[in-house]
Amino acid sequence: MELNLLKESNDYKYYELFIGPNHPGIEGNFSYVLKMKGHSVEEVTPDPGLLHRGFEKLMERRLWTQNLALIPRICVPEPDVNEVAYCLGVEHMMGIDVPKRAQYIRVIVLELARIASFLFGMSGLGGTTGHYTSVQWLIGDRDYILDLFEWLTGGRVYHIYQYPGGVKNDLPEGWLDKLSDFLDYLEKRLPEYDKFIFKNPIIQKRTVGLGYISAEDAIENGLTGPNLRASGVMYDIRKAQPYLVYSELDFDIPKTGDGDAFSRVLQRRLELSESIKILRQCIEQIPEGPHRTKVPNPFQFRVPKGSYYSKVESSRGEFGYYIVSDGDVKPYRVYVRGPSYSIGLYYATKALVGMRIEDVPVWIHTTDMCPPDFDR
Amino acid sequence: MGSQDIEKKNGFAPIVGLKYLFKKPHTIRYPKEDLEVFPVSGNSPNYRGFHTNDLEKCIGCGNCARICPTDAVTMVESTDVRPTNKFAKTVRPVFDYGRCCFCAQCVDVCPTGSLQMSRDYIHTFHPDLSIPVEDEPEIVSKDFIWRADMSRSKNPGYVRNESNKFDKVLNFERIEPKKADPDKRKISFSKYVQIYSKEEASKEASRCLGCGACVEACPNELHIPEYISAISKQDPQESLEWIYKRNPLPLICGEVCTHQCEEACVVGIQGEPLAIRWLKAFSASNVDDYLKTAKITLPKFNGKKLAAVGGGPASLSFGYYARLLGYDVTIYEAEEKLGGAMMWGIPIYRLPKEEMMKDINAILSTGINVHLKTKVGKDIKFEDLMNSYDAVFIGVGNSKPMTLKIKGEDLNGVMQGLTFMHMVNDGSLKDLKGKKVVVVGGGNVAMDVARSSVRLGAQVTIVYRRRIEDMPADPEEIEEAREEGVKIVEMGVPVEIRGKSSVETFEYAVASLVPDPSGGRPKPVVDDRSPHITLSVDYVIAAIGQTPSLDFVPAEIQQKIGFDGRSVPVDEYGHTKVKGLFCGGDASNSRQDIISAIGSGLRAAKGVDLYLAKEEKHV
Ligand SMILES: Cc1cc2nc3c(=O)[nH]c(=O)nc-3n(C[C@H](O)[C@H](O)[C@H](O)COP(=O)(O)OP(=O)(O)OC[C@H]3O[C@@H](n4cnc5c(N)ncnc54)[C@H](O)[C@@H]3O)c2cc1C
Ligand code: SF4
Ligand code: SF4
Repeated sequence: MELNLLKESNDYKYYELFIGPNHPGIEGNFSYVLKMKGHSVEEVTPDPGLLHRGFEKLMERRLWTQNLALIPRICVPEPDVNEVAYCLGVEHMMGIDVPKRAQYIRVIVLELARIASFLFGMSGLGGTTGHYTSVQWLIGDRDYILDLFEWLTGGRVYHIYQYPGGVKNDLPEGWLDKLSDFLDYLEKRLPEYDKFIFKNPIIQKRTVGLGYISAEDAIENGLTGPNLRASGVMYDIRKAQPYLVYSELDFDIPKTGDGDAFSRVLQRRLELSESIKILRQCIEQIPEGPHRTKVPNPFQFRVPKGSYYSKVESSRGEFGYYIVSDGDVKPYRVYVRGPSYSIGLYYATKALVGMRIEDVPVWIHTTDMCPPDFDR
Repeated sequence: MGSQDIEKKNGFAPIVGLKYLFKKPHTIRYPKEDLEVFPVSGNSPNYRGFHTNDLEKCIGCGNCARICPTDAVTMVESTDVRPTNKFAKTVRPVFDYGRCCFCAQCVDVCPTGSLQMSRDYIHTFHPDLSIPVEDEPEIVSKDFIWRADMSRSKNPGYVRNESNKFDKVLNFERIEPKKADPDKRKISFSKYVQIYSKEEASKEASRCLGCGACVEACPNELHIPEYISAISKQDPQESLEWIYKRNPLPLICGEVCTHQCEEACVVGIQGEPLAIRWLKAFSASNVDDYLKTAKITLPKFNGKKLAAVGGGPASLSFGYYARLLGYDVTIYEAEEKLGGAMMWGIPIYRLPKEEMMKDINAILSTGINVHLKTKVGKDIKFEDLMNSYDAVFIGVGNSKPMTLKIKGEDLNGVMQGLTFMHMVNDGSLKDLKGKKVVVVGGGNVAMDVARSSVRLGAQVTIVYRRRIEDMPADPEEIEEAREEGVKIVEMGVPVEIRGKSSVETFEYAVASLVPDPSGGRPKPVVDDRSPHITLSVDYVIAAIGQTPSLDFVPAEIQQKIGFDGRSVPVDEYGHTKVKGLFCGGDASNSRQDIISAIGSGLRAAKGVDLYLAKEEKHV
């Protein structure tokens, strides 16, 4: 029959679908070119730009401390990991000891940023599933964190607050109390989140069993962070190779386990509670003392010849800075290992194959990827 | 919790949501509503908003423009501001808010603290759509590019003020070199300030911003930021290479330069200036072979011959730079050793002679002829030099002391500062134990005389016409002299020296100070009511200045060049009004110190080159 003939023509079997920056289902300025067959994905071609590579190149032309204004921009939802990882590397190469108080402040900043980023990520899921209440509520609550950041650092999103040898300002009078109030508030909100996100039949329908990643696959493809842990591999740099004062803090790595989209989101939700636990301990334990050690001024700031890879557990996984110095006032090379790189650029080409088109944005958002990481 | 527990369908769920209708909204309608988060109303107390700049405090050093990672800052000449201090410029930063990322690094490095950021939250840009695209730049500049002033400072945000200045990225405290205690140093002529160690030097150097504000203050405009930066890299060789470009007496200047640059150093405005001088001493003392390190290649002689009268820093510098241009230079020096006032004036506790000779020998090793013990005018005629050389340089310094012009000046025991220092330096004066010495004057020579006398065992009083803060001597010198037990009498005007054949008493009047209406230093005035005080003394040493002696130059030439007894007038290349006759150093400089002498020698070497090139063309 005519109709059947048409169906079998290869010319019409496949079509190309571009989902890019203007698509609400994708995160950031990045695109996938999908080869589609009907509703399902046949082939995935990620289309990265040069954003990230540009950052790395720019760093070679700026003074060591000037870069601190640049690097937070590599990850908008959680800029602080960049600052801390970079400072940790530079400090290691220069042999600078960071005062205890500064280390606590850094942990506070990192955990607060982690919470902000989790809220941001979970709200993104609401966007792709049509569950807009969660978008508004979570973003609204995240704003309280931005207020705290603004008070502490002078900036809402990009804090530019870390400095080799410590942090730029000490905690303002009364800031910790406000932080504590905020944690109380957030803890009260969590049951509501659970109700309308995790016990929500629509969210469950859309995420349970979707995009299953086995533990072997996750390891094989270099996944890190909650995506890895949701597949049952309990690897967290804060535990495996504790930096700053994480070894003095008591927290657990929650186990969710079966590696589907739902458990990836749930993993973040449970880790958020652990972050609150960490913050509460920091408020208790933070010692008095200087928040900074003296280092040479920016124009004479030289890092001894050598190289070092420093890493920090971000809300997305391992954020690493490979720093090479030839002893000059500018870095010779800085390479940034973004945590979304492995999943967004490589693993996506496998994971999305065979998926239905409406699940693609959901999958993207449950991996909480951040395109500047792999836009290179 | 797991994927199993799905909320049962609940008919009341929509009603549960109703309670949020009555909650306060998250959104804050800024600036109508204040954020409640901060104790200060409005946005964060250290918010990084628009810049404010105290134009009266800003010195135009440009460090904000240099640190800005986004290149948002341009230094623009501003006609409506006054220079804040002697060395300040009238450029002021202008900010391009289309580029600025509000990182506040400019505020961090502002050495005066004049630059701050305000708590202004909003920046909106209203392009006028009726204006064609070609005219856009003007709108952009109107809306985006501003010179910061104090108009936003009522609402300060990110500020680096006096109280937290040691908290931010600049280091305001100087690394002090090791110094001997006053009690120890006053009994010995050995050097009491130690040269920096490697660590100290690079730590001190790492305080430098590299802005170059100091360069213009240096009489010979040395490459200061470059050589300090090399020290901070722990590379004294590279540092010396920079220094040697404009200063062939690096160790001498490292030890005793008058360091005017440090007065201009921007770090000194809120803290202690860089120890630019000690850093130079560090580099010079860590290099053995200057010429090799500075990669000096000597050209072949070009057949022209030059003479230099006097063997002080002016002639040495002239000789060195002229040699680099290929000239064959001969120095005529009256004394038995080179160095001039550095040899016979500066005491060895400040400048050991072997350090001085290290510098001088490097210069001589380029192949400069020296005739010692040859006084021009006595051992060889000045006219002969003029006839047998292509050009002549006069670097005779100041040798005619000014006298007190009071009664009793011819008594035994009254001495001139230069004579006294010569005797100390050549070893003919060995002991002043138990003697009482009065030094008249307030300059560096007076301090050297006083402190040398202390070291010889004397009890010393300095009598100066004005107040201590008016003294032209280095503040450090004055302080150290006092630490060593030197008494200073302010506003003392000498009246008479009495004694039979040698000095017995010294009388001075206590003057009152009358301010100078034209803004100069106040004038000491003695009248009938001024109290008179008499001290019993063994020596009176006058160190109130000296003038050049050009007695060896024939009178008609003296007249031709317009010598007035104080200074030889010259053009910017040290050329006098007589063709082929150049002059430099104390004899013609308004600033009388070693680095100015070096500068005049360098300029004269260039001047000779230009002059002879022109002469050749004419022939
Ligand atoms: C006690 C004292 C302390 C000082 N301390 C410092 C200091 O700490 N820092 C600083 O920067 N400056 C200091 N100065 C000033 C500095 O030494 C002089 O500015 C500098 O030496 C001037 O150099 P010059 O080459 O012009 O002359 P001089 O150094 O005076 O050299 C002139 C030379 O010419 C010779 N001469 C004179 N007439 C004849 C002639 N007819 N024939 C042949 N030779 C002749 C003289 O013997 C002398 O050697 C000091 C000066 C004195 C006196
Ligand atoms: S705030 Fe940062 S980006 Fe803006 S002008 Fe200052 S240094 Fe430049
Ligand atoms: S010494 Fe002072 S004035 Fe000179 S470049 Fe360094 S910081 Fe600037």
